[in-house]
Amino acid sequence: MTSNEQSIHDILKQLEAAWNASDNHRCASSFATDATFIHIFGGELDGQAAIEGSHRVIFDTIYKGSRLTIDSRSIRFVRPDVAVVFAQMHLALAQGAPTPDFDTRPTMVMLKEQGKWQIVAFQNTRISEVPAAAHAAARPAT
Amino acid sequence: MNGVRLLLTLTVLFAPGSLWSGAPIAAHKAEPPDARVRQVLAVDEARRKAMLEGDVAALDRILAEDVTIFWGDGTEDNKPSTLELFRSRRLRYDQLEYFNTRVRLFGQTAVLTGEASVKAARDGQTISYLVRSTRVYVNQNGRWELVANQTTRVRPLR
Repeated sequence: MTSNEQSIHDILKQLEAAWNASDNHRCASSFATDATFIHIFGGELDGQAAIEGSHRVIFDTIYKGSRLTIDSRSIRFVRPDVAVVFAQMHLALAQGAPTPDFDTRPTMVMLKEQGKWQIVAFQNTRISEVPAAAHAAARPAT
Repeated sequence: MNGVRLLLTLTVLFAPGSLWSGAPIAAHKAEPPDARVRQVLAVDEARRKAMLEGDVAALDRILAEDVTIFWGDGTEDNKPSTLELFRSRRLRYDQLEYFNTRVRLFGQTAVLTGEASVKAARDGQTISYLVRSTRVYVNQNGRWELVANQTTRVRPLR
């Protein structure tokens, strides 16, 4: 693993650890000041401050006590300082939560500036709860 | 902003078709849109039209060999499987309109984010959603190629 790959893996680990500590400040620190963040409900957050504030809200409400797992699926270096990162996330909600655990697929664009990698664009999509048999017969696409 | 990053943000207020035909672009910033922004928006519009028309040859030119597409239901396709969706007409678009598109350039990488209204049919199943999407293009092989495209559903269209 190259040092750049390691740095990107470290960002994913930092995101995971920050989420599991409900630390919105640390979570947002992985993002550039002008990053865009599209969450699973399709809303868009513009900038690190908005990302930090929004995560404070969800850590105190709908995702309170949840546990996040992030698995890197692939890292594509477009050039040495720009990478497109594909991952898979699993969110285990707190016991007694009204909705079941779920998986998502985020795409991230990361940029290395002044020796530091940060996320400049993030979009996440929830994987629908469609049985495997139904997937094979009719997989919807938009 | 340092030399590594060239950030051009604009919101396309005109219909994509108008942009494709060379109509003026309205931008938040006073500076004229960078030529590369025009180029990547033109390719994005060509991709939109190709998806609407099921033009597999055009999609074959625009999609990078290692493109990854995450659809609105969270499923994933690569280039061969995406082309097969259109070749077999198992996926057909009746409407694909982008709006509030924002373009950011990071060297030879362009990140487009924005909203879209989508009406499509997949294996006879109707799909009708307002979505948000991120498209990542890279200038390689002498042209802009799509390397990532992600869709997230916002709400069903009325």
